[in-house]
Amino acid sequence: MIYFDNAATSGKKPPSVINAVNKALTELSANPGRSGHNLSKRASELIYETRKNVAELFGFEKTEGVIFTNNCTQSINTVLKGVLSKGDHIIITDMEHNAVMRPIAKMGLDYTAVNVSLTDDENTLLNIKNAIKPNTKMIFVTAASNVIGKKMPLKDIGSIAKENGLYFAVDGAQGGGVMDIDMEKFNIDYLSLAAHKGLYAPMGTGVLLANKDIKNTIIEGGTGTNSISLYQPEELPEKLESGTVNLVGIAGINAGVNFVKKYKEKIVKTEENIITDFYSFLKNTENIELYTPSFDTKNYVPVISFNVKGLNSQITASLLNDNNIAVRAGLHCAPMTHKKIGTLDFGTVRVSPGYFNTANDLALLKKTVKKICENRKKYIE
Amino acid sequence: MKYEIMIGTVTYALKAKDILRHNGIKAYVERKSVNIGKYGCGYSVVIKDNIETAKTILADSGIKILDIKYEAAR
Repeated sequence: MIYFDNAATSGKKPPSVINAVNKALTELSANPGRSGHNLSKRASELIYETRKNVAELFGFEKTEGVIFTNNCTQSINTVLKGVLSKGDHIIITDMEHNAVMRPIAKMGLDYTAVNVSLTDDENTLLNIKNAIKPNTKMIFVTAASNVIGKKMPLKDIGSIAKENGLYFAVDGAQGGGVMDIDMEKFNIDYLSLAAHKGLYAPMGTGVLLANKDIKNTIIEGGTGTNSISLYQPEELPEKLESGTVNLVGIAGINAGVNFVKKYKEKIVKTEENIITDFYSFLKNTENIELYTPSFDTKNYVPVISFNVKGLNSQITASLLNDNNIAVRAGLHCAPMTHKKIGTLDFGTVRVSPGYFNTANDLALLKKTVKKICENRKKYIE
Repeated sequence: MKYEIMIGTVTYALKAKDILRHNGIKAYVERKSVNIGKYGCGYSVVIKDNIETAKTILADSGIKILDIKYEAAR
């Protein structure tokens, strides 16, 4: 299958990640942080090394602030439910994923979704500043939209948060591993990551980097320490990691982070070249609808949404699938973004390349999209 | 002889080991509670000597020491 759905999960994992996962399964099958035998200690050391490795990639000094979760959604829930309470006001953008929107709705938080300008970051920053109220506690933004790829000016937003004494949280699902995100320089208090996307780890892995305390836990249980107490330990990361951690997945994270550290420039260049070429192709193809005024690598991560005029996005995606090409269609769990770009009724086709996509993959994608456009009247309902 | 410095969580025990080694003090981590009845299960970082220096280094690094047990050479 020609895989262009890397925004959902990185389709092909590097051999080093596969090897690390295999090694953890076959040689390190012991519960870390629980027993005293050498196998358990080695497992604990691997977890610790992974925390250090992840911290280093994101300019974060607190190894103990690196928390492993099942996915980015769990990381985000941990932040929102751990830090905020009903009555608090939170500033978000009009491009947030349901991973942010649904917990906000469930918690009954007061929120303002500011308009993100696709062409002028200064405008966006002004909107954020103007949204601050006396009960505002946090600014929570996506690093980059999972639908249209628009990057947020994280450093400037971090400055606004700091100047106003607000928590600054980032959904790094799309940005992590591709964008330069520095916790310290950008004043980020909480960074949620989907390790299985830009960090090439197996699915079922997420990370939360917490520079400030998280008051409330959403899961309590065994942590392997201070078991005599019925209360959850206060120290991170164990406070937020009850139960057995996903050692095999974490081994994959470690290898994935090493892969990104070694090849980041090449990864970014490959993906950007593909998407720049594809955007240009779409712009010059008849009967294509695009939803961003331009594509440039400074303001966008390699994610593009489009439609073939007259066709529901699911049909286009299905036709691509018939030709062995994997993309994602629909609302991408981000209805707010689709409302913003006017595609709530029919969704979009999203193309998101990865490091392992080739020029040949792109050529086939372009050829197939062109064919669908030429024959679109056949498929219009 | 050795000193078992009770740290608590495995993450902080490994951090303590790293910091002590970085400061020239040989250290390793043991799954051992200095006082299981008081602290429950946990991890200690074990060193042979330089306990006062180790205590200072760990305090300066923000690592809380729960307890210390000294074991004389057998």
